[in-house]
Amino acid sequence: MRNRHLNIVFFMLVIFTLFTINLLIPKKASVSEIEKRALELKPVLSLSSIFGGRYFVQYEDYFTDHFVWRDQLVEWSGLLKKSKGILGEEDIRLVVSRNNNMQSSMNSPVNEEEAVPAMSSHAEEQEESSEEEMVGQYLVYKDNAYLLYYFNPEAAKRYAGALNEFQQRVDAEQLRVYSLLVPSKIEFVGEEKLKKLTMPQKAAVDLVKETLQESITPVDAYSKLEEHKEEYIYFRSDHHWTALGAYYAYEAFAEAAGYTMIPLAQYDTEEYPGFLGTSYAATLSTAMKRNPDVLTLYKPSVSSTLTVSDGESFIRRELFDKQYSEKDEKYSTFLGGDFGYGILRTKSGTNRVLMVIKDSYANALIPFLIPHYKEIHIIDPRYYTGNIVRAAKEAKADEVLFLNSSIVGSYFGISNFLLKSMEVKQRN
Amino acid sequence: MVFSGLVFLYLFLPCILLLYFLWRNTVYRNWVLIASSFFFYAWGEPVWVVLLLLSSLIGWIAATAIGKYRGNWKSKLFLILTIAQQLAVLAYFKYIGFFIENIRFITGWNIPYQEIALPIGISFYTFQIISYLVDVYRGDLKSQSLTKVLLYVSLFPQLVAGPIVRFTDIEHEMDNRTFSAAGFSQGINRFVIGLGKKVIFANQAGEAASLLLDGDLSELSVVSAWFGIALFALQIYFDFSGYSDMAVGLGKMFGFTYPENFNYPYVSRTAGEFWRRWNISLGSFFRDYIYIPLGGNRRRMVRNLFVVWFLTGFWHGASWNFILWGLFFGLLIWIERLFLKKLLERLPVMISHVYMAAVILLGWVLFYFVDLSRGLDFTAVLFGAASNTVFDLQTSIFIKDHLILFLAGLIASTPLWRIVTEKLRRQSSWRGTVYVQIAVPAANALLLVIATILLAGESYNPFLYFRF
Repeated sequence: MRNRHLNIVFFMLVIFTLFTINLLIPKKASVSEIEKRALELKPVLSLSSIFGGRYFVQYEDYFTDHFVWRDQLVEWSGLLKKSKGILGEEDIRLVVSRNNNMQSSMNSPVNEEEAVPAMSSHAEEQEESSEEEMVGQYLVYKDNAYLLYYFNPEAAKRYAGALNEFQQRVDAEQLRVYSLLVPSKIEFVGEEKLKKLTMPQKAAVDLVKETLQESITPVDAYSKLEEHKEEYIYFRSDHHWTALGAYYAYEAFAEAAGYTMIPLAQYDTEEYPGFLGTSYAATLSTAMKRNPDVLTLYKPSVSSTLTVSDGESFIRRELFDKQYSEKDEKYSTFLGGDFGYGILRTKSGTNRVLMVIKDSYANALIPFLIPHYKEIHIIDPRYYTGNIVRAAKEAKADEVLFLNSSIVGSYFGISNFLLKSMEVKQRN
Repeated sequence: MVFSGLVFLYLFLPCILLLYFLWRNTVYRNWVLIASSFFFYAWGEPVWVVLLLLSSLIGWIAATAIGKYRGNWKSKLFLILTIAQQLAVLAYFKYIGFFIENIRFITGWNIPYQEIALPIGISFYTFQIISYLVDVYRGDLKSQSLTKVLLYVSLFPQLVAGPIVRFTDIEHEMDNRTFSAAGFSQGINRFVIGLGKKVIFANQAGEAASLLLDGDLSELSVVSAWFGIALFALQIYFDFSGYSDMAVGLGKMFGFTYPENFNYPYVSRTAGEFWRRWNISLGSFFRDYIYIPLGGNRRRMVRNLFVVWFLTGFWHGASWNFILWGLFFGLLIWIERLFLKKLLERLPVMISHVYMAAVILLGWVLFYFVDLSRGLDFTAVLFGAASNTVFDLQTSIFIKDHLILFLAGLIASTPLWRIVTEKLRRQSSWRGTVYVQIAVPAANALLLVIATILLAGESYNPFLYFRF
């Protein structure tokens, strides 16, 4: 057989084999676990979808999302891409994840397909959006990945400003306001050379503290976490802290609020190994995959019921939602993930009411607060559509804890949600 | 739809191949190509496919008239009117924003207009139609049937991103195509090489380049800045030449021989040579249809150079930075013509290459930064005129992380690989045989598989739930 025939045979083999298999296989999966998104659906054929242009774009996404052996191909793609450089696992790598994380922008095209290579695609102007696109840079080192921290003093000031607004609108006699900021793991990373690549979070935490009004109590979780930084207080494959890390922050809060904390030894634990979280999804690091995290749950001895509002009615939820413990990305086990408004009613025997206004970091900490309060009202301002001041009054909260990650010192998003919720006019 | 996509490779292409080779009749095959080309175009432009059709129809009618009245003043009238119409359409879709912005800048008038998305390929097919009209007018060509015109304009391998094919290039093959295994195999070779260039080199280099060039310029080290623009130089070369390779390859598979569009431009020693190796079909279009009619080298050369290079830049994008990029090359070519070329020939070759490296990279700076002030800031960083560090930890990590890609890309942009493979092929020993008979087909299949893997990887889009 001459080479030209062999060439044709090989080529046709590849093209037609994949063509046929893709045609024949049933499209079973509808969700990509690791990407945490729904796989594109087959578009509905209609005149409007064709002439609107949606049909073909969607069809391409559908075809690609359901391509045979896609998960395996994606993994091999990650391996192949490693060969573009000479970095090994002992070296630091910087990986950029530029995925749009705002749900609303899932509909806008992320990559404008420029079919004409001579025109540079960036010449098309980007949609001026009021939402900041988050381009996360991950520092990958061995089996860990750290999100680089970017300090924007204006963002930190706006966050403190939002808390001050809240304080002014509530009755300071009845209600005590606390602020707890959680630094991310890169702040406590051991190797000096890694520290050079990121900005310090202490500055953000301190700036918030300075800008807060006197009557708001700052909770120094930072020092506690720093004290215990050699312990397993952050996940390697996820950007969150572990329950142990949350426990040390709980220690700080208990000191600030003035009650005795329950020692960790008194808790029964449950462990779920094989945890591969957000940092894994972003970097697909093989070192991480070989050494996944372990999710440890500390089960409170005081029983409680959690109900979550979907806007209309309240639905029962588990404190630890075990369906997530079965999957790769286990952090959502805590409270079953984020929601707008929920109430945790406990059998603690006290009559204090706490309101936590928070992001996902609080989910790991809230279980430790159960023995100390009759009710814990939980609000995530990113999803809550009501007014947080009114909610605090209606809940008859004795204490309000604002618990957020240090990201509030980088971006304005959460601050804007808070201000909007209190119906404060924003200049920006 | 792009050639370097899973839908094209594993849905469209197999279907077309099946349909095309179903029946040996040339008329049938031409219609398969026309229909599939319009479908291919409609996939990307479901609305403006109508424009493609209309432009082709107008071109066909006008050419018939031009041919009929050749020698008469009416012939010229039809030519001028139709060219004006084609350019007006192009100007409207591509340049209206540019014109209105500039009017606003100069006079302050705020003319409202609707932003239109540029229909893909319009710059290419408009020029093809114009070349057809002029060729008929000049008598180089008879006016053609509607089928031929539709086939010529819409042929999907070259429709969206060139090369700009002249009717005479494929005239004979339109009616005379016989399948040969050798030809088809050559087509596969070119197609797979182009695919590899695009997916392996262009896409990866592009991702890396934009990380450096699109970020905070004050944080960029000098070395990173140079590395970034060098990566972009690789990206745009592999992107454009890869696409041309795929076009040539696909054309060959269906029996059409397209002219080459790229010839290792980065080994050029002068700017003039660069433009004989880069986007050759565009350069020759401007030479044959604008430069020479205006008088070429003989009459008012400086004016002609200015016009041609202004238009070359302008064709690439509706923005001043592209125009400046074109004029930048025009200026250099003029200076070379005056004395620089002779000077460079007397100096060691290395000097020419250093000169060209600077020319090429600085040219790409102009090309990349549509925002001229940002481009200026970037240039300041390049020459250490800004207060940026020269080299830092981030730079070291980044370069190490892309070193192989960069070096391999550099080598692949030179004819080095081709020289090596030619030597292998010429060997009459068993090595030569193994190479020709087995290694090439195996390498092609491997390239195809690698490209498929990387394309699947590109669809990976994790929702990281960082809702802040």
